[in-house]
Order: sequence, then structure tokens, then C-alpha cells
Amino acid sequence: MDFNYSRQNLNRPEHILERALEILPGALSWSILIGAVVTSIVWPLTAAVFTIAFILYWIFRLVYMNIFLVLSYALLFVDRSTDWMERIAVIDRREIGFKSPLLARPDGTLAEKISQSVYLRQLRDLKKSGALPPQSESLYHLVIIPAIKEGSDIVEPGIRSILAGRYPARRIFILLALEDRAAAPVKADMAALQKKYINGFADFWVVTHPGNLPGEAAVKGANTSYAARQARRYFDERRIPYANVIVSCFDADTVPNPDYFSCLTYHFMITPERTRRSYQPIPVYHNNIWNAPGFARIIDIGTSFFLLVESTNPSKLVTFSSHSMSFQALVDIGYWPVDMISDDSAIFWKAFIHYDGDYQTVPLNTTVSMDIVEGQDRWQTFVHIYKQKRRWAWGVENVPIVLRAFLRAEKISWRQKIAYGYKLVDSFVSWATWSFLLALLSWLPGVFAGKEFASTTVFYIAPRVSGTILSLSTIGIFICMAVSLLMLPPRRRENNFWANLRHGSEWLFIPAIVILLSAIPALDAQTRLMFGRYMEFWVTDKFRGKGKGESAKD
Amino acid sequence: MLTITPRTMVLTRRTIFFVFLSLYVILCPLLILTTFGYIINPIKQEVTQTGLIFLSSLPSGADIYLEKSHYRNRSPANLSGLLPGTYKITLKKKGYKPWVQSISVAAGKAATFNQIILIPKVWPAQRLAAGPFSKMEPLAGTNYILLAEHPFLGQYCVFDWKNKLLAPLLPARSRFADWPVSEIFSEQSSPVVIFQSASFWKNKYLYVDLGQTPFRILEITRLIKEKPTAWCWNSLYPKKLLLSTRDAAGLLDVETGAAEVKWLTGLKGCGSQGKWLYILDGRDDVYRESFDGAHREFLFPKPRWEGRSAAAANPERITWIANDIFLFSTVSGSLTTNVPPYVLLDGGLAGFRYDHKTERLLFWTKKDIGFAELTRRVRLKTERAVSSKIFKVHKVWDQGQAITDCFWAAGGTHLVFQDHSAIYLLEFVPTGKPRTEKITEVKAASSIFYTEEGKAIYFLNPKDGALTALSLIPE
Repeated sequence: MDFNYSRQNLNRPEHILERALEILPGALSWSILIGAVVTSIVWPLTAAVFTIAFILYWIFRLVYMNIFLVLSYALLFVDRSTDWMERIAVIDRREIGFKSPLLARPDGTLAEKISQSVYLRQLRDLKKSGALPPQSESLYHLVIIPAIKEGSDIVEPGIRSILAGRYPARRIFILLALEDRAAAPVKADMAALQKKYINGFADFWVVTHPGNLPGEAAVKGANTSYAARQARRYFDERRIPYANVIVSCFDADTVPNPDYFSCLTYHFMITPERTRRSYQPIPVYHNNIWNAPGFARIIDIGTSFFLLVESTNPSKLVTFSSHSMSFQALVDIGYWPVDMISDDSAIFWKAFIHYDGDYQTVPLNTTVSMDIVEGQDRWQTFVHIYKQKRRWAWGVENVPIVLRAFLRAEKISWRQKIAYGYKLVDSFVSWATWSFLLALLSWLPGVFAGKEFASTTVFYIAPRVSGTILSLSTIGIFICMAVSLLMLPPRRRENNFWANLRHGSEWLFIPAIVILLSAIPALDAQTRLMFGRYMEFWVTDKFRGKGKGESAKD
Repeated sequence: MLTITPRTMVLTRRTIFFVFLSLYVILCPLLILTTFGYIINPIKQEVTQTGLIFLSSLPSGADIYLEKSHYRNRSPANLSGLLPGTYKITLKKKGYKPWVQSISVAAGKAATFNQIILIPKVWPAQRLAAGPFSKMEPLAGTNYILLAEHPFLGQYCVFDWKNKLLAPLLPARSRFADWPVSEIFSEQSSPVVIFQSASFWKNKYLYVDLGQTPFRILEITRLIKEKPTAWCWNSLYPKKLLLSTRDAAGLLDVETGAAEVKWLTGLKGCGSQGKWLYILDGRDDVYRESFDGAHREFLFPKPRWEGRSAAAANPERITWIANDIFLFSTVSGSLTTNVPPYVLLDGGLAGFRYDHKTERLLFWTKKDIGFAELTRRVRLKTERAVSSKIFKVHKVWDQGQAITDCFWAAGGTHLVFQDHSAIYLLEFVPTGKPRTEKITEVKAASSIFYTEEGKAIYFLNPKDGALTALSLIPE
């Protein structure tokens, strides 16, 4: 479907619809919160009943998420030592059959056996589809790294990691997408990086995005789209088919796992509809995790958990942060939006709408590591994280555009529209409201209880029932603690029981952290959208305190 | 071997989702019904709605007996799942008398017994100041209690009950020491006390500010030309005193010595709250004036009921309750208000206290104790009431003989009152008559004082006149 994925340049009816849909998420969130308070005051009996129903629902949802968190982590664990290059070679050799000696491995750990069985199934599905991939030798990777304030201390580790990865760097193009308004030292740093690493990759160039191009906002998407257009010219000149290029859009601080590109290449090759897929790794925030304060650590581990859980539902997985996709698809859909902050998720929706619903995200069982936002002190760190989370929550700007597109899309089935639309709206509304509901509902009706309510059994039994159900959530928190401890990178020092206990106990502050650094930023973003106060892009400050992994703060 | 492909994952998700959904659909209504008290009656094998009894005691940790069975939990406790009916509940704790009550339980309802005060077998009392004292004058709303053996100023001591300090009122060899005290005037929450000393020739007046160290003592006799019928000041303007006489009210500034004799004329009654002076004038209009005289605001005409109003000869005391609700009390013993039912007591008023937290007014005569609580009502256009609230009056006790003082205790669940020379504890029960228990004897013709802080009663020991404290909840 040909659809202008933007809130700009709309005719009047479309603009009215856009505004109405922009108000929708915030209105829903505020209605829920205000309604909860009002109900607690005016109809405490109803509020008490609703509290029980909501808390029970929340517990079921928590258990549901925990199950898939553990499952997803297990898959990540299972594939951590997978030799992706070997699997790529099998596909290149077209050994997609049962008799390949590579596949006959009666020994091996349980993890290996699971990984092998999945692999076998994938090969069979590929063969069945008939959509065999090009040879890996003809595939290229384009890595776009946007930068504006970040110096080489931030950008270089990612480049080094790509170079040192298992996938041949000779098949990787590095494109540093620099903003023209970047400071001279940053420009100098980027030029130095190009000079240093140009011989290690297929090519390495720096593209400077001019400022104030018509129709563009000061957003990352404008920068990366400009860079991608330059790359397209480059590929055209060298007659490299777009379908053979996999583009990865990273953040300046992204450090991919050494097997990222081999894992990505494998999944690209194994997926029959490879040019109609995005590829989403699990983001982790390990670059400076031991330097960051505990509350910052917890909130970003939570983000990783969110993606871990989401990756178990690939049919509804939306891209987030650093991810990859087919360059062909990127060109087809017109690159990233140049006037939206949430380009990472917008690109998925843009593709989904363009291809009439025939677009999905493939989860990758590998990680990319980024920085936890830090400040000079704890308060600054808190403020920076708040702003970052608000920027992430600004992904709600996709809601009105997607819903408008759904109303026009004739080829997307109603089932898909309802399923995706509901999930999209529900994810933002629950993001902004659940923590408040859990914090308020359990005690609010009791506070405003009049004599009449206070003389009912509900007044006494409801808090007990709610408390019992909520206490079950400690199991969920323990599961999160355990998974987080398993996922954390090794400390340079202090890897003992007490250090682990200290880290685990940080999870006990989750109720407060989630409200302050997740729910409130989400509500903030939705409220801004409601009132048409569109957010300008604020590039999160990234600096490394004392270098990666050195002298943990705690 | 189970293969975990995207399709398998989707199938797994759907399966778990539907299992959870089914569990939720089953559990949620069950939990809600449980919250409303529904159970399966084991005898009749049908669904029945139960009620519960909530008990909390002071001190906590009492053993609970439901009929003859020992309940598993100690107080505070919820006895839930009770079929509608009447149950005998007994609370027992070592060192305390058993508390026994028959409680009716209705379906879906909770019978609440909050802060049941367990009566010790022996009330432990603490001597705070050896007397002998014969007079005790607590200053309401402050930390201070005035004590004296004989009614001469030099005999008076000030006891700070919060800090447990006793100090003489006057410095040594004060010239006021031999003044006989005929009357003491004080205001709620103000550390200022006015002593009136009556003599054959004329009355003398002493102003004492107990809030200062050392106490600020000023003779203000020369400022007072005529014996006042009422005094008024408040803690915000402790140095400005309003004295009302027969037909006027004068404003004294103790600091400067200025006295405006006819500051207000035609005054029938007054009271103060915050920076405002509330005045009932000769036309029965209620208005307020700031102490500095800068603002005056008409509030409302005093309601008339059945053609009656307070006699002009009786000065009225105006007590501010809430935003627009006032009490009018007279020396003759009537207690009226400007919201329905207007007349709370027609005569015999011995005292009253208003609790802002619970919005309840406690008032008593020699024989009776009652309380009135503010509730909302639908306001009728024809009514002159300025508020949407009314007082709902309840009679609590009618077997008194010479009730002199009464206090809300234990968060309003009990009353402590003095009848003659004894102190009693009255416990409110949801149904039936309140329970009373005699706590101790006090010195004849002396006052008592109760504070929620520490739930302590202060009184004079009948034997030796020592100032004694007794906690309702002994440690």
C-alpha cells in the first residue's frame, strides 16, 4: 500500500483523524487512572472488586511473561555457542537434507541437541519453501552508525567488535552517518576512525548529513536515511543487488556480539521471505553496566527482558533500537521516517503497511550491547534515564499513523488489523498505567472508605485477597533476579555471593523504579502527544565513567 | 525431540494463553464471591453469604474465643466466614479482665470492634508530682496543668505533662503570691492564663503566658474597668484580649497596655479561631472580625427555632467547628448550632468537646452524655441552614450523677469521663448499651485530664493529692 507514513502534509480530514488518534492513547491512560481514583472514592465497593480482578489478571500476565522470559533466555543460552558460519556453509553447499554428516550428532549437550533440532527444522522449511538464498559470498552487510555528539571512545568499540567478529569483515561496509552540526572534534574523530579501519572492511566511509533539509526534523531517521541513500548510489555504481545487502542500523554505542553478523546472515539465508523481514537481536546494556547506579541497571535489564519475551512472539514482534533488515525492503519503503523520533519501530510499521501486512520480524538469538545512560552524578543519571525512557515511550507517535493506515488498508486482513492495533495501543496504555494501578488500587478504596463500605466484608477481605495474590509476584521477581544474574557480564572484581545478593536485592526496588522511570515517562510522552506538544530529538548523553568494566561503582 | 521453531513458539503461546484465560475466568469470580463473603454452607450444602467480625484490642495479642472454640489468631484478627447469627466472643489476656460480648453477624457485613481496651486487673498508676494538691486545672490543647494545694497564686505550680516538668507559677517572693484566686480563664490551645483574684475592694487580674520561659507575668488590673462577663483570645494573638461586659466589648493589648474599652458594642457573644474573632451582635447576627480590626465580614443571621433564642442577659460563647458551622453555648446551659437540628441541648450543659478528626461533638450534662456527628444531607431550598451538613444526635449515657468532664479516647471508640469523684471508661458497642468500667477514684472537687498521646489520664490521688497518671494501655 502506498501510504505516507508521516503526520506532516495531511489534508484536513486526515489531519483531524490524526489528531483524534493522537489523543487516543493519552486519553485512555488518563481515563483509566482518573477513573480508578474516582471509583475508589465514589464507589469503593466496585473499586475493591476491580482491584482483585486486575491484580489477578496482572499475576497471570506476569507468570505468562516469566514463562517466556525463561524460555527465551534458554534459547539464547542454547545458541550461545552455535557455529553460525558452519551452518551458513551447509546452506551454501545446499546440504539441506537428513544425511549431512554435519547434522548427525548423537553426542552433544542438551543445549546442542535442542539447537540442532531447531536447525534441522529450519533447513527442512527452507527446502520446502523453494526460496533458496543466494550464496553467502554474494551477501553484504551495510552497518550504519549515526553520530552527532559521540566521539571515538563511544563509537570505536563497536567497530572493533565487528572487525573481530566471526563473520568476515571484508563483506561488511561501515557507514558513519555524521550530522553536519556535529562538533569539529567529533568530525575529526570519525575521520580518524575511517582512516584507521578502512582496510579492515569492504569499505568504510563517513557521510555528513546536511542540516535543515526540507521536510526533515532533527531526528536520527533523517540522518540514517540520507546515509542509506548515499549507500544506494554506491551499490548502484558497483551493481550490488539490494536484495543481497543486509542493512544494520546501530546506535553510536552499539557493540554487537562477535557472532552477530554470522547469526544474522544465517537467519537471513534460512528465512524464505528474507527481504520481507526485519531481524531483531536482544539488546543488552553491558558496555558500562558495572559503572551505572543500581536503579539504572535494573531499568535497562528490564528492557532486555521485554525484548526477550517479545521475541517469543515473532508474529507480533516490532523492531526496537539496533536491528537489521533487507536493504531491498528499506529502499522499497522509502527508508526511515525523516520526521519521527521513533525511527526504530516506525520502520517496521512502515514496512508492514507497505507490504500489506506481509512483513514480520525475525528474532535473533544473539545480543547487541549498548550503554546505560549515565550522568555526572546519580541525579543527572536519573534525569537522563527519564528523558531516554520518555523518548522511547514517544514511540506512541506511531499509534495514530498506524491506525490511520489500517483504516485505509484494504489488503490487510481485519484480523491482523485488530490484533496489531490492539497490541499497539494496549502496550502503550498498560506501560503508562499498570504500575500506578498496582500501587494505588490496593489501598485507595480503604482510605476513602465511608462508614457504609467499612462495615462490609469486602472492606476487610479484599485487601487480604489482593495482598495474597500480590505476594505471588515475588516469585516473578525472583525469576527476574535469577535471569538477570545469569545474563550479566562477569564483573572485573567482586564476583561473589554478596555481590550477587546486592545486585539481586536491587530488584526489590522495582515498584518504585518502574513508576518513576517507566510509567511516568510513558504518561509524559502520551500527554505531550495528546496536546500536540511534539518532542524534539534530544540526543542522550553517553560517556564512559571509568572505562568499560573497571572498578565497579558498587 | 520437541523442536522450538517460531511456529511451535506461537502454538505454545496460544496454548498457555488459553489455559491462563480459562483459569482466570474460573478464579476471578470465585475470588470476588469470596470477598463478598460467599461460601458453600457445609451443613445445607448451598452457597451462603457470610459475615465477619473484626476485632482489635489494646493491647494487642489477646486470645480470641468464638463461643467456646479458641480462634487460631490473636487480636487484631478477622473472624471471617461466619454464618449470620449471634456469637459470643471472649478476649483473654494475662493480667487483664476477660472481655466478653455477644455480637450479631449479618450476611455480607462486618461487625467491627476497633481498639477494644482490655481492662487490667490492677490499673498501674504513676505518681508524677507529690502533692498535696487540691486543685487541678488542665489547659485544654496545651501541655500544661495548673496545680495548687490552696487557691493562692503563690501555691500554684505548672506541670508540663509532655516533658514531665513541674515548676512554680510565680518566682520566689513574688508580690502576687498571696492573691487569692477566684477564677481562672483559659482558651483552647493557648498557653495564656488569666487569674482573677477577687477581694472586698476590687477584682485584680494577672496575665500569665506559660509558653515563655520564664513565664511572662503581667498584672493587667488597671486595664480592666468593669468586671468582664467573658474573655476571648487565641494562640495567634495571645497579647490581645477581648473582654466582653454587659453591653460592650473592649480590646486590650497586654504588650502596649492599650485598652479600647468600647471596641465593639452590643456584643452578645464571642469566640475566636485563627486570626478571626466571631461575634454575635445585638441583632443576633453572626459576623467575624480580624483581631487587628482590618476586616469585618457578615456570616449569617443566628437561626431562630420555635421563636426562641438565647436570652440577652446570657452571654453566648461561639465555638467555630468547621468552615461555616458554629456552636453557641450559654452559661444557662443551652447548646445550639446553626445547622439542623439547631438545638442540641436545651439546658444543663456541663461541657462539650469537638473532635475535628472524627467530626463528632461530645457534650454532657450532670446526668447524661451524648454526642452529635456531622453528616451530609440534601439541602432543602427552604431551609436557612448555610451548610449541607447536619448534626445527628445520639444519647450515650444517662446514668450519671455529677458528670464534670468527658473525653474521647482511643480514637473515638471510648469515652473517659469523670462522675463525682471517680473516673469511668465507656466503650461504644455497635449494638446494645455501651459498657462502662470504673477506673479509679479521684480527689473530690478536682478535675481530670486525658490525652490521646500515650492514652493517659491525669488526676489527683484521693488519698494524698499527688498528681497521678494512669495509662489506659499499660505497657
